[in-house]
Amino acid sequence: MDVYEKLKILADAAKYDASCSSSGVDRSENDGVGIGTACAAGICHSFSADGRCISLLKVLQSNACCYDCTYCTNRRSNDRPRATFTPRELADLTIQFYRRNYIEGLFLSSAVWRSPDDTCLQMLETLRILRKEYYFRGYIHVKAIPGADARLTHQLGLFADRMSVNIELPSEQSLLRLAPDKNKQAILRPMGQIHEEIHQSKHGLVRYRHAERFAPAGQSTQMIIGATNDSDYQIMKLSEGLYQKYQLKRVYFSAYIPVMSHPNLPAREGFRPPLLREHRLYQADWLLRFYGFQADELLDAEHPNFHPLIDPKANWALNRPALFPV
Amino acid sequence: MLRLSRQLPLSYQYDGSFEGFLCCVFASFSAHGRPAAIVAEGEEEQQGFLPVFRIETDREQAARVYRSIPQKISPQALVFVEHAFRSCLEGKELLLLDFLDQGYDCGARVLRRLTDDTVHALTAAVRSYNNEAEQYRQFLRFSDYQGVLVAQMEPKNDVLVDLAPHFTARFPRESFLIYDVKRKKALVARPGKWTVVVLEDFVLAAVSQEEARIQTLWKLFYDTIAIESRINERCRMSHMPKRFWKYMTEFHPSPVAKDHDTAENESFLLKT
Ligand code: SF4
Repeated sequence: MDVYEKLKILADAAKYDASCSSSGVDRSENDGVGIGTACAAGICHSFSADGRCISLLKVLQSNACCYDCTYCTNRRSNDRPRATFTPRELADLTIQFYRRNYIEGLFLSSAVWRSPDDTCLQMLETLRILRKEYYFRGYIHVKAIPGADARLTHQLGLFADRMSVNIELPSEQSLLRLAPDKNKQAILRPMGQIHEEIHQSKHGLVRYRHAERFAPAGQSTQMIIGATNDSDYQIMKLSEGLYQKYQLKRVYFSAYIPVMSHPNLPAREGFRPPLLREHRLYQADWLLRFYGFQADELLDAEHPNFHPLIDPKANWALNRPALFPV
Repeated sequence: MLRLSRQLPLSYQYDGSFEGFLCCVFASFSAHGRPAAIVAEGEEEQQGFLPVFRIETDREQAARVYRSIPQKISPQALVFVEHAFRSCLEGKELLLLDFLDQGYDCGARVLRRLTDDTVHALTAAVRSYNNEAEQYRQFLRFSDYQGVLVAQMEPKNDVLVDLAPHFTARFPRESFLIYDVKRKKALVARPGKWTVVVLEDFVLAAVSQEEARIQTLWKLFYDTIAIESRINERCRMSHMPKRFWKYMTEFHPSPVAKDHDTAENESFLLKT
């Protein structure tokens, strides 16, 4: 299979939010609160037909997955074309795109190819060629593979600017239901490790050789919204916990886009991605991160969801008539 | 310093260079007056009945005016004047003369006089200049011609030299050339040095097969990652105005490669 065929499959597999590959990092997020467009690497080189910023070559190393997550097109039991880049092919492609000013860097993720360790080794070799052979100084965001050996995760972090691990779904029950091969521990372990290593590297607790730094641009995660019936309250509580515990730079939400049919998933017919809900969650997330709000102030067990038509801050005020007598 | 209170019944003509403009400033202050117009060579039409006074470019005079700006106004004012001069604002020369006249009088504060018509117009022009330079950092596209990266553009403002710091830092080990098609000049860079040259006749040969292959891959990537259920043409256009598309690889028809045996492929042709 030539690189053209592979790129076609592996870029397509990386574009949907409901898979290992999703990011949200390069999403254009100007929602009127003045954040501007958030670009991982600072420069948007192009804008796709859906208006999203293109800053990084966002692809999977492989989509030949041995896991079977219900919501994902790459799942083992789905019949679709499979491809795997060799590290050399992917490194060369990145460099050639970078030289032509098409991109700012690479956003690399992968399905679980053979095993988490094997997958990680392929990604590692791609990054090694880029950084050590081509002296590539562009931006690299890499997704850690849950279940891989901690030493491999460590190596990845030394080559990357930013690392992330997908939390995937807002609750453990949802994970059990839709991503049976994954579990909370396997996801949280690398997240904890990355947090720990970023911390050590920043505070000089560990001296890395050649003054290497571990994921200097920090850690982020993302989760799928609307594939399960987790409430906004659960989602906000989880985000709050992640910010506090792992000092994440960002939690990204991505409205579920149905690409698969399955009894455990929302019916595909007439399903509209919950874009407005995603937007409300970003507004609430903004309140958490910059205005010192707590999840419990915005929602509670009795009001577990944001009103789709009212922004969360107004919602907060409306629920407190004592503070804001009208 | 004396303000330029007198209106001179003539217009200045200069060679269009920044140094030439600084000499017009020098001449105005020597005459204690401002001309009715300052016109670059080749843009003579609108001068009307007034006699034209030709200002010769003199490096010594230009250097004196140049040094006076950071000294008597502020270093920021010098950057501002240079950017405004390279902007596409019509009549910028007279406005800049007025700006300098005010600046010599009141110092660094002049940049904050946003209610003043001159300062306001120039500030808007500088903003548009900087925006466009930023847009070219995003949207400029290079093609590889025998190891040399070549890009073409048609900016409204004369942003060429402002692209040099960014791209020389981005490509420390590459040779590259950025051609301003309308102004017929190019930024030419080799590792460690760069310069701007005039290229009257610039013809690009067909791309190599390898270049065509990479361009095809980029177009494939670009087309693949748009999510159909979210197509938003208005959003795309507001971030990336149509006028940039002409030279962007992702909007080109599929590249046609020439076989390697033709002489044209020796290098892209440079004729000065
Ligand atoms: S691990 Fe699950 S989400 Fe990731 S690619 Fe495989 S099936 Fe998809």
